[in-house]
Amino acid sequence: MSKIFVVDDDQAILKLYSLMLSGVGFEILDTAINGKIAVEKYMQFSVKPDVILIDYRMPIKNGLDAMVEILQLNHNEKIVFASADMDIKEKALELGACDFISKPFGMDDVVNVLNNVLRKKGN
Amino acid sequence: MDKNTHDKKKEPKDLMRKIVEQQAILLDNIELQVWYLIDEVTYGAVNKAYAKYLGVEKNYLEGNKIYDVREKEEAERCVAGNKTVFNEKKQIRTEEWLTNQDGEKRLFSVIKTPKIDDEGNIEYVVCTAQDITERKLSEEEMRKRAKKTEILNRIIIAGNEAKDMESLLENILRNTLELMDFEGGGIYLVNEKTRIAELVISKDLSPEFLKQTNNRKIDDPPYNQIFLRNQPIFTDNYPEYNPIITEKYGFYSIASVPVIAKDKVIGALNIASKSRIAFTEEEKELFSFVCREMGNVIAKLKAEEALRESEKKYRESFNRAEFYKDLFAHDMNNILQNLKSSAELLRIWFYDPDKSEKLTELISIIKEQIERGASLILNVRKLSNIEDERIDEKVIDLINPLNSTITQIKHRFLDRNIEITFSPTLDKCHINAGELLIDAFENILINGIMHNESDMIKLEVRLSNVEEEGEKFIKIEFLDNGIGIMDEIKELIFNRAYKKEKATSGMGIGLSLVKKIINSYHGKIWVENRVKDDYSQGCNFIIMLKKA
Repeated sequence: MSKIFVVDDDQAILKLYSLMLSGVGFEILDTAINGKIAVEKYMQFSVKPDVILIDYRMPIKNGLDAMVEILQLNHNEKIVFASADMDIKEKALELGACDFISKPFGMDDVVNVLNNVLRKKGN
Repeated sequence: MDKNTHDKKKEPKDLMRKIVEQQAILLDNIELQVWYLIDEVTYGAVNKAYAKYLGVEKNYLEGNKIYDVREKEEAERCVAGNKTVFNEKKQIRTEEWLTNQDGEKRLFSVIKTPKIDDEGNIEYVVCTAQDITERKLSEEEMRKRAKKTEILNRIIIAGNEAKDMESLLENILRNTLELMDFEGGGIYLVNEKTRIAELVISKDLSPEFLKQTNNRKIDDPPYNQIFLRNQPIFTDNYPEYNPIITEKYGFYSIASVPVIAKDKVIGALNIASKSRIAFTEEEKELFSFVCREMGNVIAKLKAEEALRESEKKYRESFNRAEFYKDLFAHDMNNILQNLKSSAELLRIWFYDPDKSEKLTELISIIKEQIERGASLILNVRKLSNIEDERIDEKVIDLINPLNSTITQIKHRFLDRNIEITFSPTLDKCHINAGELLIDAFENILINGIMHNESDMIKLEVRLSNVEEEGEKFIKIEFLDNGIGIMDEIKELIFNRAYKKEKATSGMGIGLSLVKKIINSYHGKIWVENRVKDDYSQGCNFIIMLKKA
């Protein structure tokens, strides 16, 4: 099972990610409610996630800053953005995100993107 | 034979006669008055211009005494000057106002030059007088104009350089006192609401004097003359008018001149002098001129300030609108995301009997998200009302909105395990606030419910009296057992500046509204941990409102 680390400050969406992804072959490795906690948790993982699904706009540390720090720790880490802020898409991809899903997205969208990323990773 | 050869052949006497004749013709055909004095009081020959000025025949004057043809006072002044020339044997130059035959006063430039013989004695004195009245008046006019221009320039420069009203008035006052040579002064501006002219700037006036004069009721005499009837007051003899002030502060003359903008008295320029007794007409005219120009510059600066203020308000309003739009769009997208995901899962699991528990969870999420969306829209509307300053305020008893909010919340979240504790310990909780207070309380309580993962949601409201720096407050505490707020974002949730960058995410738009409401009721709000040093045990939102 592919392990997903989900980062979003919206408690409801964290619950929904869990419901959506656990039924289609993914395991939620952990969740974090902001970029700072995400980086701290990432450093402590004994088993690293296969993909990090991260929001942009969060308190304390945003998704872009958190991604940059995580990629500095492991430049092979696969990070997918899921955000309502379409205008940061270009910057996110430029800084190393594998893909960008715009909110509100469908379940198929997120599953397809995650599978694509994992397939590329496997290759 | 040329002319010179011919002249040389003539008799010297004839030649002399001819020269005298030529000189007489020359002198009689110039406007300059010329006359000779044999002694201090006796005329020698005079030219036609001088005789005409005195209104006598040219030949009449020769050998006559000055007293015979001039008025006594003028004659004495004239003889006094003559004595100086005869005694000191030196040329004198004077400017004198003299009366001509038509009784008109004219200004003359008079030069009296002694002719001294080889033995050092005065043979006669040659006098000339040139009428310089027009030239002098024209010079005087030019000097006045130059002074006006100088003052005008300084006022315009002051207007251009002024950063604010105070620096403008300070600059104008300093320049006016300097150019007009007065010791001290001040500028008053009228406050239409209070009907008081307030001294906004002063120079070289003692604090004691200022204390007595810093406010003037514009409806009371004598100030109504200046501020209502637009009439300046020039007090030339201040000791008579107010002997105490003169004795105490030494002022002999004081002027108060209305400052006018767009035909309305907006203030007054006051100046005072310790050394002079009276104001000249020229000074009075100049002060009025200064005040008119000052009024124009003040009006211009006020208009500029109003424009800047309006631009600032517009910019702030635009930034706020952008900020709320961005925050609203973001939060609404998240709500839609949650609804969309929930709907999709419902569709997939709807007929799966094993998923009935999950379905209940999804329905609960949908209800929460609808609630969240409704609150978001309501809060944006309320925020807009506060921005537009449509906010009411009156003395109310705090217990009522608190009870009303708690009842509403209990009714709204019937399906949640919520325990709200509120036992008012104070008898009277009167504060100045309005109906929006309910929205502030509601948002805080909902916050404690929405960000709460406990099986039993516990909320508590406490009231207490607090005194800070002599002011009495009512302290309202909202304690919850929710997920808490980390120290790093405790301030962030209330202080979302309307900057160009995106609003950071936090607790949604609700707490921005809460802060705005509390601030508009002159209160303050902050958040602490419910349990000291452990944010994860929940929050304590604290509001302080002034007692009515």
